[in-house]
Amino acid sequence: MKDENKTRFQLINELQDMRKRLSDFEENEERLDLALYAANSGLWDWRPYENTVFFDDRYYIMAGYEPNEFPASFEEWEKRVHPDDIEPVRNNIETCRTGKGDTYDAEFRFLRKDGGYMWILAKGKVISRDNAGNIIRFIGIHSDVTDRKIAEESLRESEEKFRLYLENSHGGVIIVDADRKIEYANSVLSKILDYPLDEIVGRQFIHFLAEENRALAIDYSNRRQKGEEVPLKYETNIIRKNGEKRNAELSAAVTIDSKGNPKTIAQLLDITERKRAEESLRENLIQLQAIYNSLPVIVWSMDEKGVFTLSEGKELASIGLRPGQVVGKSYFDFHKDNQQVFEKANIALAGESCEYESKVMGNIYHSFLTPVFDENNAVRGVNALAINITEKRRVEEELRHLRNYLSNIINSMPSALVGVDTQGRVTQWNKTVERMTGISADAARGRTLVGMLPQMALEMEKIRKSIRTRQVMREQKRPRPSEDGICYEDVTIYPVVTNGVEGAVIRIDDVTERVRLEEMMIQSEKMLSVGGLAAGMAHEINNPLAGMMQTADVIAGRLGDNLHIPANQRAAEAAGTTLKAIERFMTARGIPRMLATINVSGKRVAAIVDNMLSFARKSEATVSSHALNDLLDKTLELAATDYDSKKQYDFKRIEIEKDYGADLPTVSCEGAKIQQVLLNIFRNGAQAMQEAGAENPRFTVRTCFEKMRNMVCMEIGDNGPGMDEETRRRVFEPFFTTKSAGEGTGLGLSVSYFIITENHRGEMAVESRPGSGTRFVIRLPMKGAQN
Amino acid sequence: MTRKEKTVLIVDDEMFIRQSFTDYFEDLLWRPLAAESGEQALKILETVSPHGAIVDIRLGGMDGDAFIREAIRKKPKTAFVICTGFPEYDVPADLLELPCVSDQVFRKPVTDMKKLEKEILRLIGDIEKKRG
Repeated sequence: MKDENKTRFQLINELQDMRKRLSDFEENEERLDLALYAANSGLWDWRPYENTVFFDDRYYIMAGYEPNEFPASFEEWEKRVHPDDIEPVRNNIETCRTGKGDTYDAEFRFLRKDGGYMWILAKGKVISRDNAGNIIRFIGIHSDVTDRKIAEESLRESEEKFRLYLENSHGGVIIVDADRKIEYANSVLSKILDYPLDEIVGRQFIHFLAEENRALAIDYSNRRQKGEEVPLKYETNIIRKNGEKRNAELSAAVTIDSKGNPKTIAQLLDITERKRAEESLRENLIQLQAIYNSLPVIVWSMDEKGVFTLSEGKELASIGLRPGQVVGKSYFDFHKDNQQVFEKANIALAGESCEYESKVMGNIYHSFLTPVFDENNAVRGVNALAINITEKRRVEEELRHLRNYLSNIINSMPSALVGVDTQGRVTQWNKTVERMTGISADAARGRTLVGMLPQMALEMEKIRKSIRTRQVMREQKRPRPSEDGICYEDVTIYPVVTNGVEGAVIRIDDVTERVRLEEMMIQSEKMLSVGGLAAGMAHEINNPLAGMMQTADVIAGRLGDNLHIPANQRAAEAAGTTLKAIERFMTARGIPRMLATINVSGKRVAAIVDNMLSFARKSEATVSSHALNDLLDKTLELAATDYDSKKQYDFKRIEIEKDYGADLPTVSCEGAKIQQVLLNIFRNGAQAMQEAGAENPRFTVRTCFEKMRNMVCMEIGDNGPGMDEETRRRVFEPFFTTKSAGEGTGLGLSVSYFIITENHRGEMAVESRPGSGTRFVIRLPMKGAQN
Repeated sequence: MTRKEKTVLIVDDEMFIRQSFTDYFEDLLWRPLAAESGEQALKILETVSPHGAIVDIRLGGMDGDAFIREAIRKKPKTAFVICTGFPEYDVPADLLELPCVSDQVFRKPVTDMKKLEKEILRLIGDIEKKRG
């Protein structure tokens, strides 16, 4: 009993010891308890051999159980471990159990009371083994690391996302440390640099930059890390593994890693292609700008709301704008007064191309609007081009004016103008031709001339010749039969050769009037010259005529009426004959007849001379007012009583049809002369009808007053044989006669013509057709004769 | 010279005309005198006083009008009848006034000589009436 010999001292010591130890123990337990509490951990104590496990209270409470709510056993623990985590945990335990290790460290999900899982970090140690190495006691803690795990998970997810992002980034991503050593690079960077990742990571970043770009990169990096402001993005050049230099764009930012170390994370893009495209685009743009800065155009665009996005072009200056000035402003504001422009813009914005003309600041623009579509076929905006057409318009207007003017000129020409090409197709057809032919210009153009007017076939030959020889061809006074008698035309063909276009212009002038006038003038001149001759001749003829006639008269007297004068008696006696014998002899030999012939012939000559003298006589004109109807009647009386044994007509047999105008104003004229004219016409007509053996010879006498021309008109028509054109043309010619030789002087009508036209300033014309009679038309002006 | 026989002076430069007048008036028992110019006629008038005169206008030398004026001064009681081939001749005003100058102009050829004789006789008659 050494124990008893342990003195009370020992016992008190032991007791003190025990108390201390208990106190310590309690303190330790408290400490442990607090520690475990602070660490949010539970305690477990497993004795595999005895198959006992101790879970402390916390163990249960952590999981939401009441302490000892479930029995403390390995199995109870095992069944609460998440099925996905049990395997590694078992392996861990196995490792310890087999003696490979003493430390147990596992993380697993543990089933809470509420059915959810918590993350547990279990740490333990094998305290004791038996000699065979089997675990006798296994102790550890069981910590709730749910929060940490969630955080870790979050972090991991985050990191995962980040990594994915980095990996799948279209750009190369690198993370470099403060010394610009590459800590991380994604595969895209590897592709960009054409180095395998292991040749990238760990190297200096600037190693991969072109020489000339390194300094800047270093400078930026330093400044960036100091916190100074540097450009987020800048361009640089990289050198690939094969030595190829590429353009790159670098975006870098400084960040702090989880350990507090500054890192730079950067994105690298190979922008070589982009730069080429940009360059190309810039060149195109420059070219385009050059184009629209030198042409009188405005190029502009607006977005889907009508806001200008582009405004370029040299022409902007003309409307007082600078390039780009209206960008950002609204198209609709700019054109707010113009309805048309508004509408067109809306049409384009609705998706339809359109164009319009507008006037801005005195210039005329033609604008083309084209909508631009996005990938959904919605209108994204409108592109437009405006061209200054002021000059063009002006020129067009001038051209139109000129055309009109030319057309007017051509159409106002009294000449007929026809233009043809070498094929004879009509290119010009003026109004006068339209009137002449009745074919309109529209109908004529393009058709062949000969096709429309077959009578021009001959002309076509001339036209071709004219074009070929480049010579003007003229034909003057070409006769053309028409309803009004023969018309005369001057036809001129002008070859036209301009700019290699060949053709001809045919000009036809109606010169009928002129020709008639010429003929009249010729007639008049003939008359006048005859008159002149007449005057001179008359006197020359009269004298010898007088000598002849008067002597013949004397003979006729001496041997006729005055036969028995003393002188004759004496002469007869001296001749040894008687007057009676002489008388008998003369009668027997027809001397008196012969003398009478001389007398009559002489008288005729005298009459001729006298008639001729009418031309030159500055008449004993007795001008007075005459009622022409009366004058006609008097003349008809005269004609009726005019019976000459030589003439073979009886005027009384002829029917006279009178159609006198009522209220015919009196005309101032030389009555005797007018009668002479009328008588001449009646005599000619009567004779003609008689000669032709007309059954019912008739004169139709008509008078009327032509108000328009202030003239009195007399018409004398017969139903005689009429005259052919050849004759008709020449009736007024001096000495022209259809009568047989010895009858008539051929002067009657020419004298009449002279009297009417020259003495009275009137008009005289004859109409006649063979078989249709003859009609003389005389017009006398109211103003009267001039001498 | 018998008083009954009348004298007529014919002044014309055409011989045949002079001759025909001369023959004609001879047959009518006149006493015709002929002169081929005014000057010659005036000479004749110095010694003869014809009853009448037939005067042509166009003459060599002085014309008919001038002759008449001259002749009238010498022999105012002569009857003058103008006969001319000149178509536009009118008797000048001063001569027309004179009663011894006929206002009827005979144109050549004279186709009615009787008329001519009548006119001269009429004029002569007028003059004699005045005289008497």
